[in-house]
Amino acid sequence: MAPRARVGRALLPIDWGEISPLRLHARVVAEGLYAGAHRSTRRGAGVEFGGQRPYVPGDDLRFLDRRSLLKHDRLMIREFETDTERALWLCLDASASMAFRGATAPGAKLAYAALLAAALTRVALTGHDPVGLGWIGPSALRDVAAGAGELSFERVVSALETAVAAGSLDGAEPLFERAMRRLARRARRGSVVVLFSDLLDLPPSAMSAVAALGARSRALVVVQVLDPVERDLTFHGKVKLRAIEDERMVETDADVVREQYRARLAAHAESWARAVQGEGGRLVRCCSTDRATAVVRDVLRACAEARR
Amino acid sequence: MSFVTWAALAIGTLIVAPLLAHLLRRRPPIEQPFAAVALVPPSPAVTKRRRALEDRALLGLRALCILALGVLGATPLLRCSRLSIARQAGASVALGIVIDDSLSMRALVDPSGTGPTRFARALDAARELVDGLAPGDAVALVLAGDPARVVLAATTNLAAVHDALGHVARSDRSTDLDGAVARASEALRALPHVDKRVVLLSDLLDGTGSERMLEAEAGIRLWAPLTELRTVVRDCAVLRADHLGTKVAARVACSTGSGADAGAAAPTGTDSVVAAESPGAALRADRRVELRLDGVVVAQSRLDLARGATDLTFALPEGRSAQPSTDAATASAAPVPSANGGGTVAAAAGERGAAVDGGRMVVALAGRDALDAIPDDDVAPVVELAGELRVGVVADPATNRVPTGGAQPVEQALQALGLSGEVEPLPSVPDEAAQLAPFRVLVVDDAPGFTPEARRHLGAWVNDGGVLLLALGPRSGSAPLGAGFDPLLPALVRWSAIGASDGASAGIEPSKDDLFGPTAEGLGDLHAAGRAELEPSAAAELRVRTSWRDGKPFAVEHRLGRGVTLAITLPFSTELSDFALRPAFLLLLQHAVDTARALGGTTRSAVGSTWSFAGYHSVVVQRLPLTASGELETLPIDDGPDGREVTPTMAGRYQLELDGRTTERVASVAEQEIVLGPRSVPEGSHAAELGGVASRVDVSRQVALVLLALIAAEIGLRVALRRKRRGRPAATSRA
Repeated sequence: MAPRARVGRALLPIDWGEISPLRLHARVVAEGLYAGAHRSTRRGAGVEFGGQRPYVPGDDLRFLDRRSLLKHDRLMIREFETDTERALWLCLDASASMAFRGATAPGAKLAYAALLAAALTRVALTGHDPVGLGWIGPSALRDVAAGAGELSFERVVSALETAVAAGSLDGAEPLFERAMRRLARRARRGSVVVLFSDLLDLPPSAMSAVAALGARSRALVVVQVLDPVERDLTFHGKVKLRAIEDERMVETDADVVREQYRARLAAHAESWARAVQGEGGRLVRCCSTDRATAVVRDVLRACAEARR
Repeated sequence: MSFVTWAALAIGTLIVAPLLAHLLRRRPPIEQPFAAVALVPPSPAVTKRRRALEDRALLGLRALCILALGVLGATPLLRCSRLSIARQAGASVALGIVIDDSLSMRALVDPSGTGPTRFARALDAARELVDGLAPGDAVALVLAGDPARVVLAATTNLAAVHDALGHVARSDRSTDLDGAVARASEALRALPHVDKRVVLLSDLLDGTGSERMLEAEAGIRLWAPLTELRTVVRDCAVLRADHLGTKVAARVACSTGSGADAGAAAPTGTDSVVAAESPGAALRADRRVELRLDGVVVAQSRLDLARGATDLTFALPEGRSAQPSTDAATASAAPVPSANGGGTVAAAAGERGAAVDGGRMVVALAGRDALDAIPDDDVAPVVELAGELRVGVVADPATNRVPTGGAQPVEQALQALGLSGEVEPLPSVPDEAAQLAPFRVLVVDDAPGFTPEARRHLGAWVNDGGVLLLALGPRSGSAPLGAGFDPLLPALVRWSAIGASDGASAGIEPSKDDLFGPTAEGLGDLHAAGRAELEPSAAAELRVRTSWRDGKPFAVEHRLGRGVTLAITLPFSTELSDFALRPAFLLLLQHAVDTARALGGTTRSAVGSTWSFAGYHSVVVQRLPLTASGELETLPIDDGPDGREVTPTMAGRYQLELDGRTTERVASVAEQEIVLGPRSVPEGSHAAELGGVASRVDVSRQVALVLLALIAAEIGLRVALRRKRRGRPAATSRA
């Protein structure tokens, strides 16, 4: 078995490339979206009729539908909807593989994920929803508690800008599960959880642990961020590929195995999509060369779908 | 093997070095960071592919570089057969390049039948010489085909020389080496160069049989560098074929008897190389002379190659004529009569010459003869004899007698010129047009004028293209009443005696001569008892060709329509002058005959002689093809001093359209061009100090430039490949 501790906890600075400054680019991406697309509602006490349901003992008799009782001889309770805040929890994979940047990419994968996260933060704060930030990885990055307001945006962006990648998650199940538990504990019922990761080099139990975030009425959206090199295996001729987070090596002819690699990558993503959808979540695949506005729109659409 | 051979082999092995280097090269594949290694399947063929050659372009360039290095090292060993001159202390040279464009130069350089013709070799040699010249060198170009012509006067513009060489074409002319060398010497005479040379690019075969060496003027050296052209070859040709009623007379010449053997018996000083052939080889050759009509053999005769020139007579089968036949199939089925009563011989098919005579009657050589140097002259068209040149001579036998007996001097001179015509003595000048019509030249000696009737008929005859040669004597000066020479000679003729005290006037002024050429010097001390003096009535119409020392005209020319009257002021009688005993007399008669030929007095003339068309407004001359599939070749019309002129340079049949009237003429090969007697040149004409054919060529500079270009190409290719590799989306992870 190949050694697994070559990368260790060495901190890898993020190549921001064309994504820097993050703050400015996040605003530009967020402003390109339709404001207000994010709307959270909660049924219960309110002013807008939200439907009927059968009476159960203990219900407030003030909401008993008398017309339905007189007409159908059934006890029905009238419900009303009310707008409520819904927290957005962002979780970024900060393992060493996220520091990869190909020749044609505008920046490292983690930088691109940070851009998407900052833009989502901007969108959420515009809707007065609190935003929190968490990390997955061996590096001691600072989490940001959920909060609303302009200061929250600054806190989230500041945390994103100081991100570094380090270590490997493959074979580090305790570390990964601890991060997932911490996120599940903070994200309350009804929250929206968006996880950014390349979904590569993760421990075997990562799929079930991530899918578990979709429990408790949380809307789970997993965003797979890949570099163009990883998406298409754009090498030519014979090449020796070295894993970033461990010592694994493979020698191959890129032109020969390209299609086979693409098929394997698609199958890998499909398995993740099935696992996430099993908990009502959605998987969004993107590449670091994709237009960020479109990806954020896809994530928002996935958030809306995941809530249903 | 010599050291050089081993060294060359050693250098050759270096070519394999880049290949070995590539094969031994085990470059590991490029290592790239990649997160999804787990999803990448390994490729088992990588190790095998690594052994394959990489960068084949670079490998090729490296091999070429080493090859160029090898050539660079071997440069001092390179030689080529390029003709070049040797300079005297690097001084500029003036070259009079004489290119022989005669018929004999159409033979191959190599008698075995491969390689270029001698003319092509001479032309290439001229180009090589010009290529090797430096700025300041002067070149004049002269062609040695008869008559010798200056193609380009001496010039230092080498581009013009190249251009002039591009317009030099082969011909069927005879050879005039003396004239060519003289003209080349004249062209170089006025140049300031110290080193002047006449370069003779010829086979030296002019057929004159002259033992006199070819020499240039004093101060000009003669250089004959192409010794490979000096092989004496054998050639057979059909000189002419004439249709005489029911017969066809042909003259066939072979160089076997006089030419090839003459090579062995060459004059002293010649170094001509004789082709290696056994004496019996020529005799063993099975050659026949065939008379063909529309490609079908109608008569044939065996050719005796040992006899040199041979006259043959073919009897035409009944119903045959020299005109095109439409019954070729019938003719081919008929038995073939042999000439000279030799029985019948079946027509041979598939032999040489069988396909070159479609459409007309021709006489052709057939049969195998590997030693026949020039196959193109083995066919001659049959010409109607009606066009044969006939010369009429009117002279008083009493005054033109020869003390030793025999014919009159005029007739003897005409016979001596070897005219392919008929000389007919006449008792008096014909006074009827029908009697004058057969003649194209009329020589009249000391005629007491002409009667008006005779003048009218003579005028019409001259106007139609006749040439009248008048020798004016004492009788001409005492013409009876009513007799005269007008309009033939618009002048009053008087005879005056020349006394002993009139020595100053007895003789012509050579500087005022444009008729007798080199022989004019011999007329400077002419002895004459008297002379005719002319009082022109229309001086503008008379052209004085030669004058006496006192300025009186000696020979005058008067053009009348399409003909000409030539008059000299001395009679042919040897009792009154010794003019008839001078070489100039022969030249005068030759001039009259040539003029008649040029004016169309005959349908046959030698290749290279000029046809003059004075008086014609529309002239079109086309050479008829020998083959049925050939195309007409239109000749350019030149404007000469006497009107329009055309010079046929190739033997064959020509069609002329003169003011709407169509006629034909034939240009024939001169017999002397077949005899091929070689001329000799001074022994110093091959001296190595003049130059040579084989020379060492230093191409180090060119090879070095090629080597630099190859190295630059490899560098450029490497840079391009590197950029290409950089352009690949390789991982640049900071990991």
